[in-house]
Amino acid sequence: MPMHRYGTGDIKAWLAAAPAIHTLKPEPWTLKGVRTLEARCEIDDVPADVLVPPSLRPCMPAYCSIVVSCVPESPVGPFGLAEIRVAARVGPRPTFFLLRSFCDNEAARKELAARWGYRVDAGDVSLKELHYQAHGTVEIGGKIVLDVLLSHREPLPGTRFNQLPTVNLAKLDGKPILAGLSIESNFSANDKGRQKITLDGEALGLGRALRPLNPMAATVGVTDWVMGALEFTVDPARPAEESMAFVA
Amino acid sequence: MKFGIAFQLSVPRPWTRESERTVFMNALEQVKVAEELGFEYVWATEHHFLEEYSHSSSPEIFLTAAAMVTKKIRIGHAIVVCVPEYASPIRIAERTATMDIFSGGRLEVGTGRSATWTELGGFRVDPDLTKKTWDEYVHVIPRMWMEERFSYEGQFFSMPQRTILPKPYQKPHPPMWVAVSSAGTELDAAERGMGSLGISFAPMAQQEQVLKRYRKTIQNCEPVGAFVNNRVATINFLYCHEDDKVAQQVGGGITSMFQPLAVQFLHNPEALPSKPGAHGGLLSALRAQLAGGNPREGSAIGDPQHIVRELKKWEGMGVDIINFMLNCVEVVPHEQVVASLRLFAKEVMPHFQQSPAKAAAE
Repeated sequence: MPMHRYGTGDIKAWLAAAPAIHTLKPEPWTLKGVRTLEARCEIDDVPADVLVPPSLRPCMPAYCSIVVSCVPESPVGPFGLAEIRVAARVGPRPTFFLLRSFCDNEAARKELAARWGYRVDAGDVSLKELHYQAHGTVEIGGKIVLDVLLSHREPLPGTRFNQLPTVNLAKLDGKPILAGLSIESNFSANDKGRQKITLDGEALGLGRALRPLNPMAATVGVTDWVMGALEFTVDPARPAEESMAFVA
Repeated sequence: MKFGIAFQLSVPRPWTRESERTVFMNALEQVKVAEELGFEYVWATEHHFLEEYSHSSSPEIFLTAAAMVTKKIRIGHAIVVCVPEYASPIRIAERTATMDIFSGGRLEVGTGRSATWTELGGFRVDPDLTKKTWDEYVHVIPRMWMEERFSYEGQFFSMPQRTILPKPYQKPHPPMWVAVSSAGTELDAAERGMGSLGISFAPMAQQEQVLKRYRKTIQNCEPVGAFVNNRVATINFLYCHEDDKVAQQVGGGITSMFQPLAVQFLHNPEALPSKPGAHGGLLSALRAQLAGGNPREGSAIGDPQHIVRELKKWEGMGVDIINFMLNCVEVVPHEQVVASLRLFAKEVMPHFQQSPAKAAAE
């Protein structure tokens, strides 16, 4: 019988940095007027399998999603958040597995980790917008480790980009889980453009596995986010087809 | 209702020197058997880069081979992708005319635009333009077939006056179809007087709505060719066995391989900042199906009684042709595929034979 292709990521190694969560139904956050720059880009296909947990299946071709967001207002004040995610499949569903994220507000880092299982580290997150481009960066210790440029900016028809859930590796009551979070997003403005991604794989702890190759899409927009209950969980040790459970 | 078989030439890993050839040759053998048993159509899809799922990147060659080993079965291009990065409309007109000659006028030409970034991105196609290029192609190709000298100035394609050769064997030209998977494409097909070639595994109720909209709209069509093709075809999996449980177990292997492979590819809406609803398609339908629903509704995996019962529903809905996929990554051995075809022909087909009066009326 032919076998399906699954990720080959080292869950044990990742668990050391996985945050602890205590409920699947955290108090929601409604975040208004979030400015978000997202770039989706194909990456080297075969090495990318090590970025995907063994319970999920890689997308073909492999691609990453880099998101740089500026939240002007939240229960813990304004913050910048940058996410590096790799595309995967939870059963039949397209999703992103969160590899790394960075945030410039310590209280926000605590909440993002404890409520939704973000693996989030300290970093200076910047999103600068001009009428013709948008530029997002993450700086750690004075060094830029991630740089995303959207150029040739032009309006995008419609007011919604195709959002996918993010899957975060966390520990719930000490047990490892993959927690699926769908952020409800309502765009009030959205542009698209060309992209250029520069990242320091070694500094990000991703080695050479995440190498941007073929640009797909880049968008920048203003969004209202509702971050509510986690949507589903998956046992990281078993195929999602067997272990996915929706949060009632 | 008529029956056809459809191939996407799905090859399991590990790929060996012989494995692709075995899949291709098994498929050719199945075409011969299907013709002998009374199946009336064989279709082959055009896909690129969809590893394991489909190695049918040159369906025109497979179908020409099929035409050369058969005499009656109609040869269906399902579909040819109508975007400039894949092929000029001149080449499509030329090669389909050649296929029509070799098949002795048995060609059916399905058209479409591909649903995955995996494929379109590989050719560096902008998926937001494919609807437009498809539309321009389906308007010029029939003219290329029929006009002795042809010239054209368009948005995506232009050419000075030339004689495009050869001309199709069928006069005025082969029937034309549109692959219908995204919602609304059935209207595109109907408005242009083209057949609706269903490639979606959407639930029956949803497909019934699509069919109704198609039938209503085609009454006022402006055909792109010299005549209206108002037939509706749909796709299904087939595995027929005397024992319903065995049929489900073996035939279920086809769908359990097909669906996860299909959804692993990168579907256009996931890749692009497009308008919501601009793309739907096969993968969306598969994902919805995997998420729930009754997998046996309308299915042709089962014992003959089950299959007759379910296919009667399609017939009652007004479907003209059901095309069956027979395998996926060779999960069913070739001999069992052939046995399934034979049992289907013996026990199921007689329930759908036309009455002499109806045949005469047609």
